[in-house]
Amino acid sequence: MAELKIRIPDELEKEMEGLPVDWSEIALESIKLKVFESHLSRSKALQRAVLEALASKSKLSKESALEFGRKANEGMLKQLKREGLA
Amino acid sequence: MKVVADANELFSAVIAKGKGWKAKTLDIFFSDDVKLSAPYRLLAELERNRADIMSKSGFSHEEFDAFIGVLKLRVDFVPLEKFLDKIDEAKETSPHAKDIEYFALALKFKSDCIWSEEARLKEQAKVKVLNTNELWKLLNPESGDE
Repeated sequence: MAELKIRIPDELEKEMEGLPVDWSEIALESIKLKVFESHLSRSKALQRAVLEALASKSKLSKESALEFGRKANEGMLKQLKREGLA
Repeated sequence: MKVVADANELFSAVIAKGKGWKAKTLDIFFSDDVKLSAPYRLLAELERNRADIMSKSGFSHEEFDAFIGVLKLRVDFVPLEKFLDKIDEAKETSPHAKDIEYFALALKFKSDCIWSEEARLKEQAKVKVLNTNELWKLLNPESGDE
């Protein structure tokens, strides 16, 4: 198993001291996430799989998709009005 | 082809029912022939409505973030500054004020169409508006009615 050394600035080290956190675990999870994000950005199949997985547990209907869309568009219009553009 | 995606189409990617329709939505999302864009402000609206979307979809914070993360990879969210000069023309063109930014974006970058389920957007002649079935058929001409 590879080892990774991380340099921590002194000030940050002081803030970390005493916190009940497994920093090795945090670092490992961050690296895993970054690797996944990297794969995700390069793979359309993985992106599609993520959306399909989300949809499989989603409670959204076609009607609620339309409703959220309209709500978002109303919010955008309000912002345009605040800026004097609509 | 350059396509401006309406907000409702982004949500349609993760609906629970309507499998055939949803599959077509995902086909469009991941088509090599389509370059999707949307107003940047739409992202802020999604974030502003996060709690409501999570409540009605059943998504956790992590799942909502994953949804937004994939959207950001598939859709070019364009800041208003880049199509501000088309707002006046869009105001004259858009059948409803709510859709001004979509029309301004489409006009600025000469998009081939706006992708939306809102029939009212078709009540003008300047920008082509296609719903999911129409756009899918255009991308899959050999597929008949399916």
